[in-house]
Amino acid sequence: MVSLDIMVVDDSMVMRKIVVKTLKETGLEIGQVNEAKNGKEGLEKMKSNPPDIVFCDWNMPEMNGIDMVKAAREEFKLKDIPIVMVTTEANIDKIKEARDAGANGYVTKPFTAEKMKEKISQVLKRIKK
Amino acid sequence: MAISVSKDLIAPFVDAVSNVFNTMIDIQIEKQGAYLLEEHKVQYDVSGVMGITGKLSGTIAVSFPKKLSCQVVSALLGEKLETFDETVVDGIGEVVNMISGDAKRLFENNGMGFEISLPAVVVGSNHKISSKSNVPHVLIVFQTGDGDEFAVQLALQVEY
Amino acid sequence: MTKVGNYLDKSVLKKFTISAMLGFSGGINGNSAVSFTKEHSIAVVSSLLQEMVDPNNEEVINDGVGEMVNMIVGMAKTLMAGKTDINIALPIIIMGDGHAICVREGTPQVFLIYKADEHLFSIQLAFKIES
Repeated sequence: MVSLDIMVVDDSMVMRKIVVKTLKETGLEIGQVNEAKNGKEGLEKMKSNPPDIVFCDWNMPEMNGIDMVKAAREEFKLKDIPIVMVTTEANIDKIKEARDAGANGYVTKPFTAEKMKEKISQVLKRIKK
Repeated sequence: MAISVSKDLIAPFVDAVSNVFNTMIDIQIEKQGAYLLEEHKVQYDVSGVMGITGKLSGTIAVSFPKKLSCQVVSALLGEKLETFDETVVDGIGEVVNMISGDAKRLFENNGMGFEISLPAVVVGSNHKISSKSNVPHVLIVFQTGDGDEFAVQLALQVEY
Repeated sequence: MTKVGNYLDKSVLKKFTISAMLGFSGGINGNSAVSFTKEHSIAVVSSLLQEMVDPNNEEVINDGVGEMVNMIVGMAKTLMAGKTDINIALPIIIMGDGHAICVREGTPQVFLIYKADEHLFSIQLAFKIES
C-alpha cells in the first residue's frame, strides 16, 4: 500500500502531537508528516511539499483554518489536496462554513483512531472519484 | 444545609470525561464518587480550568496530582514525559478543552447550549479550588487502575 | 498604586496565595485573573465591604476576591461595548502558596504586577480573538 504523506496544521504543539499519534494508531501506512503552526505556514509548506492529506485546526493566529482552505482552493497546485478540519465543535453553521470554504471533511475532538481512519478513507475515496 | 444539584447538570460532564479518556487517553478510569466540596476538601497540583457562559454558566476544573498529570499527558501525546514541564501544562489545558467541548456537545443535544472561554492551567502544589459561595460546588472523583485519583470540580448555575 | 513589573517573576509568584480567575467568551475568548497575598486579600476585601473581615472567614474572602475579578472583567466588558460583546462565566478561586495560572503556549497574555502601599498584587489577561 502506498504510504500517506500528512500535514498537520494547528497552533497547539500538543494538538499536533495528538493528531500525529492518532494517525499512527490507525494502522495506515504513514509516510512523511509535516507540521505547521498556522494557516500561512501551512500554505507555504503545502506548496513546497504537497501532502496527500491535510488536518487543520480552526482558530489559529496569522491565518485561521478556514482562510487557509479558501487560499488553498485558489492555488492551482493546492486546490485538489484534501483538507480535513479538526474541531472541538461541529454545529450546522460551522460545517457549512467549512464545506463552502472547500474543506473535504471535519473531525470533532475527541476522536478515536477508528474515526480518523474512517474519515481518511471517506475523503480519499471521494477525491478518487 | 443540603443543596441539591441536578444530576442532569452533572451527568454530561461525567460522560465527557469518560469519552475523552476512552478515545484519547489510554488510562483506565472509574468514577469513584460525587460530593459537595464542603464535604470533601481536596488539594491538587495541576488543574485545567475552563469558564462556561450562556444559559448554563460556571466553571469546570479537572485537577490532578503532579505525577498523574505527567502520565495523562504522556498517554495523550503518545510519548513518555518524565518531567513536569510546559508540555504537560499545555496537555492538561487540552484535556480540559476537550472535556468542556464534549460536554458542550452533549448539552446541545439536550437543548441547552453554552460557550466555553479559554483553557487555563493552574500550577501549584496542593492548591484548592472553589467558586462563589452561593453556587453549589460539586466534586466528582475518578480513580485510575493504579489507584491514583483526580477530580472534576464543577460550579454551575442555570439562568432562567 | 504603581505598576512595578510586567513579566513573570517567579519570586513574586511565591508570595501570592489567593487568585480569582474569570473566563469570558464572545467576540473575544479569554480569562482574567487577579492574585493577592493573604494579608492583602484581607485588606482588599475589608475595604470592599467597608468592614474588617475575619482572616479565617475563607468564604467571605473568596467571595470578595471573586467580586474583584468580576468588577475588572465587567468594566472591560463595558469599555468594549460597541466594538465587541463578551459573556462572563463565574469566578474560580484558587488558594495555595506559589501557584501560577498558565495558558497555552502562543496565547497572547498580559501579566502586570502592581504595588499598593507595601503590597504587591497581579492582574493577568489572556485572550484569543474569535475569527
